[in-house]
Amino acid sequence: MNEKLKRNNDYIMIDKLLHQIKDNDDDAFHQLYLLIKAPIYGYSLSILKNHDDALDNVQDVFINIYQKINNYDSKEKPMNWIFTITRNLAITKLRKMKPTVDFNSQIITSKDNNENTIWLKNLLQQLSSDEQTIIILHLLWGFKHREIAKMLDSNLSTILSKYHRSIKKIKQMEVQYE
Amino acid sequence: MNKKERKEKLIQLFDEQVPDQFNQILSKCQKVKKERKIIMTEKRKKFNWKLSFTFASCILLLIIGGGLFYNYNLNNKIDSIIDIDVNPSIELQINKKDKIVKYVALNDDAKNILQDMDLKNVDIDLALNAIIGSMVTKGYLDDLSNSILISVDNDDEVKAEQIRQRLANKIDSILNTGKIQGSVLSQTLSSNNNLNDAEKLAKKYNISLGKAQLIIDVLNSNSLLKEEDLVNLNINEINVLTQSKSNGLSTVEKKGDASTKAYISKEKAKEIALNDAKVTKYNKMEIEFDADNGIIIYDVEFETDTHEYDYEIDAVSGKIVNSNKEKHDEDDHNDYEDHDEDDDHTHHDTNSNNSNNTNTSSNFITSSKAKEIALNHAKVNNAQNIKVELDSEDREYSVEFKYNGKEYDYEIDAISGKIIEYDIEPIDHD
Repeated sequence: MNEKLKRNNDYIMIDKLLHQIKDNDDDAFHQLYLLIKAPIYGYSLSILKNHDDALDNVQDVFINIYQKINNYDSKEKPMNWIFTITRNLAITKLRKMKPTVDFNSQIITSKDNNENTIWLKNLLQQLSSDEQTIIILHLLWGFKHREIAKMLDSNLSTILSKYHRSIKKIKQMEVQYE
Repeated sequence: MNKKERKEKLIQLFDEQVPDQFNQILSKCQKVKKERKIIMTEKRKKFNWKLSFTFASCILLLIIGGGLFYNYNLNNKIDSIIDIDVNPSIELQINKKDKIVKYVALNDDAKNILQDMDLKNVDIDLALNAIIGSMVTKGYLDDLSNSILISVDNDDEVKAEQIRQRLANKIDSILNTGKIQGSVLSQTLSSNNNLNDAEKLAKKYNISLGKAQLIIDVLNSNSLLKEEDLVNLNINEINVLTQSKSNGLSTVEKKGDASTKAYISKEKAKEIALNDAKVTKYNKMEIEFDADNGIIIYDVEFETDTHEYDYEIDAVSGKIVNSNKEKHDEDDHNDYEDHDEDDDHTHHDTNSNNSNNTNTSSNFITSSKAKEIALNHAKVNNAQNIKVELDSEDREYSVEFKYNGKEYDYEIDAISGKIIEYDIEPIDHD
């Protein structure tokens, strides 16, 4: 319940930031960047499978937000608007590099070998491509399962079962690392 | 770790992967802004060139004292730009007297149409006759593919709208004379503030500005479609897609329906899917046109008591492009926080309209109770299309229904029965 409310506040906050960006407020743009670079990176990584390309995509998404800001309309949920931009850019990139990327190929994370990066890498390796996407869309982006089902052209029960399978795997990992 | 902690941990993990590159991004944004300014000044320069031409001709006018050059200038000054798209894409630039000053073939099909025409100084109506006639003769427009898009760009919005109406009617009558039941899409470009996006899209895929604007309109009303799926489609294919999706087009006027004669029927698509699945009895069936990798497909979804099926069928050949079958029973694990998940603890309540007590988790209110809470709150007692879904992970019900032209969307805590969020929106009819 609390979490829900917080998430709704996030929506309101992001909407507010987007309007400030419309008025050329670069500080608001920076705030937005810090607030949502993680979900954008996570989703880009799940599509592009590669840290460097995902980082590139994060940059492109923000440049796009900046350029298209006048098209943003509060009637649309802000994260849905940003998600559409993120997905379109990621898919365009993927098209360009298609021969080298296979849907099921393993994710290449950054070369930092700190504990957290390794944990993340192991986590992603445990999950199938779909499972990564669902976890990222639900936990990082805050999308509801039924919204994810629509986005991925699937149905709620499939998404839920994949989600639960992933959570199970994550829980197992948590036990291992404790 | 509970859900909240797990969520925060994950956000932190991903966040750490992205170094703060904001300054780099901002400077790129500002660079793009500058470049755009340069493009705009160039546009203006062009305009200035015209102005100075006028100025020069004024002096000449004074010297020669004749109206000859004034006339010349008027004849060459571009007043409107008209894009015609079928699959051939042609751009016509016309002056105030509706005569063509310049015309451009935007793709190979257009070259094929224009190759033996000289349209310079030709009246726009005559030119349209010739162009459409050639499109019919060369097989770009016929009963199977009957859609044409016309886009008018004029700085004066009112004038653009007048030209749009006049030309759309003209095209319709030309097609009628040729005994083709056309579907004429028309739009003005000048009044549109999203033109920057359209310009980018047009440049990126080398398509006309008019087609780019149409695609943006389609994407805006159907968030599930992607630009790559649309850019390679011809106008009839795009038209068929928008016809099938519930949200139509917002800025495009349409006269006549897109032809689907090139495609197998919905019934045939349904039959192909059912035969392949070896299913005779099903509960729910949804069929609509969709685009996938530049081809038009039927998306056929249905459910039996035990399974859910999803088929993608090539709408021309009837070939199954993709299919998916899933069992209901594997779904909906009851992830009641840190309990062992076990298939015996499943409850099932995905898209029941009338399910009572299908929920085995005694902690949850029933779906009919959730429905009742929502309807009571909305003070509605004869709603249509009531849909109740249980999201057991979030422990909430989503209740959606329609009433009196509005769409209601409730989220209800599955344990306390409290309304978490609700949303009432008018149903889009445009």
